[in-house]
Amino acid sequence: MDLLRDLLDKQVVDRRQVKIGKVDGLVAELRHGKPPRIVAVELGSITLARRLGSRPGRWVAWLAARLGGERHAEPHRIAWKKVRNIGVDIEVDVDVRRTAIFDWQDWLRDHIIGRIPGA
Amino acid sequence: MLALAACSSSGPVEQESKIAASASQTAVMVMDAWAAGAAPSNYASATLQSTAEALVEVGRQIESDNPPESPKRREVVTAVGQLSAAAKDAQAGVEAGNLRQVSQARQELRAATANLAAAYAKYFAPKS
Amino acid sequence: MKKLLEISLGIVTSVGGFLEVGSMATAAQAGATFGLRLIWAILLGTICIIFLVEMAGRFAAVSGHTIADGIRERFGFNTFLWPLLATLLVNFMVMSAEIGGVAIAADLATGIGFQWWAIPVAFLAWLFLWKGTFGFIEKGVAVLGLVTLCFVVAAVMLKPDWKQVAAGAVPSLPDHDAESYWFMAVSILGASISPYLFMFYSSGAVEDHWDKTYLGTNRAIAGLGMSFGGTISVSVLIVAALVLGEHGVNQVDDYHQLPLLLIPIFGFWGFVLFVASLAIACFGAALEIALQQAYLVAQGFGWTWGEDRKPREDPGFCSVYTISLLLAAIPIGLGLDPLKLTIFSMAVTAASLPLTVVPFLFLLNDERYVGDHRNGMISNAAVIFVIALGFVLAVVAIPLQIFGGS
Repeated sequence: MDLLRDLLDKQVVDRRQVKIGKVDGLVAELRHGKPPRIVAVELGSITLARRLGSRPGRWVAWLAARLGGERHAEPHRIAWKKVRNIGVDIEVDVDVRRTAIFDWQDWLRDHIIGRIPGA
Repeated sequence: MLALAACSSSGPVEQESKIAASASQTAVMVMDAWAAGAAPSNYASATLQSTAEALVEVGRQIESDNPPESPKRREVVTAVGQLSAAAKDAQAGVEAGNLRQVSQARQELRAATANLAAAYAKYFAPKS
Repeated sequence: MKKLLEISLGIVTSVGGFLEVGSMATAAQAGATFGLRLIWAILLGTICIIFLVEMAGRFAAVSGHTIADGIRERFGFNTFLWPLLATLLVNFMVMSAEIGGVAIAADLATGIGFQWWAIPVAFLAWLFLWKGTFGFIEKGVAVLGLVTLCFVVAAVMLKPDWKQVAAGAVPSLPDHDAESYWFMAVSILGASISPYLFMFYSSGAVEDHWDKTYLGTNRAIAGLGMSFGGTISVSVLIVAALVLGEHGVNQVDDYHQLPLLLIPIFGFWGFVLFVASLAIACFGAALEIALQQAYLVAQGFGWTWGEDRKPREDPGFCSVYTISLLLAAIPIGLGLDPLKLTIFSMAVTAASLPLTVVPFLFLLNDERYVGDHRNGMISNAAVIFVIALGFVLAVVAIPLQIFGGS
């Protein structure tokens, strides 16, 4: 399987079919004498920024830690064994509400969007 | 790019006279529409005001593009000045609801348009 | 029967989406200054957009991906950033121009300066998105957009010389004001081939759950809808040539001149029809572009997207359209002339086309996405043509803007 082509940048949905992000990065384990093995997929702005270069990666990581605290200083990881299905979307056996991925959306809802009438 | 630059520099006054002629025709159309009851007064007066301002701007452009002593500048600027004055008269007429004043302004505008065309023909047309 | 209804609705929607301040203003300017000679530019633009919209719909129906999803997945995030940023910027300018269009209509109707209308218009558009559903917006814009057919009626009533109309459909060299002629041709092409149109269309297809059974519907909507839209633009040009041009109004650089298109034909109702057409067409376009901004960001980063969700279920998505509308209202609120902004943003749109259209060449020929429904020779030729056109326009449009533009 050509991993970069078939996995990277695909849509990720959680077990309730909620769109939670794209496969922004892959974490592979290098093994002696064997091909590398994927252990996790990464999501989030830090991973994306790292793809642009090491400096943007450091900036965004610093910013994320400032805004979101320690919990957001590292990219969000989903273990490879949680991947259930690879189709148009990649389905993972995770409930996004139990992760930190949507913390910023929750913050937006609680502090801004939810306060506007009619939301 | 050089060709483009060259041909656009060929006639700033030509371009400005065209804008002036087009603006005065706009004023005529608006006056006619207003007189026929086809254009609301606030629209007609806003259009005439904006046309008059455009004409003043054209006059200023011609003044800055040509040396003060040149006779062509004087005549064209005078004609454009008459145009904007006529447009302002028309605006006042529309605001007062005075049909006679508007039709008078329309005649002033026609006369000034003819002056502009004459001045333009005299100084710029033979070149081409 | 249901398909037929869907097709007609789709056609009406695309008419609503096609005609907006850009196509109106560029067609009016071109007609006033060059008579019927620039009709070819509208036809060329319409043919290009038919191909692109059909491909966007086919891609969505077969692969289940929107164009934005496809670009990111196929080319990776770093490459995707370029079309993303270019489209966000172009959309911002065009949306600002559309808000300006509605503001002009309000100014013409009330006499209160257009800059005071920018924020109220943006707020109203926001309210529609905040409370409305996709179907409501799509259908509402579509049905009200039919008022723009008054330009077609006007063009027919003027009894143009059809031989001359046909002659204008063939590209020709200008006999005067060459820079301005080419700049207008560029702006017309930019107004017809709007990236937001085909990107929005692919999002709509995914939002409406299109599958392979919709391929015929898609072809009919793309072909007929865009042709009707093009017909209205051509009508605006004909009316401008025969009304403004014939009266000696050859330079349309003030939005106050625009109602004069219809007043000599319909009298006072012409004024009303013009104001209504401008307001509705631009408002519809502003809604679609605001939604498209949110779609683009949400699809690019994989967030939940969809106009039918309540804002509190989809805070990221709603924030994007809220901020986009607010930002787009600012230039108009500061008094930037909407007509100038419109013409300029159409030229920039044309210049940005290669960034958004090059991916079509790859996506629509990739079996993993479109299977057996790959592009044929003609479609690929059309894409390559648009790309080449975009490159030429990018090289030509900016110098023309500096040297010859209005």
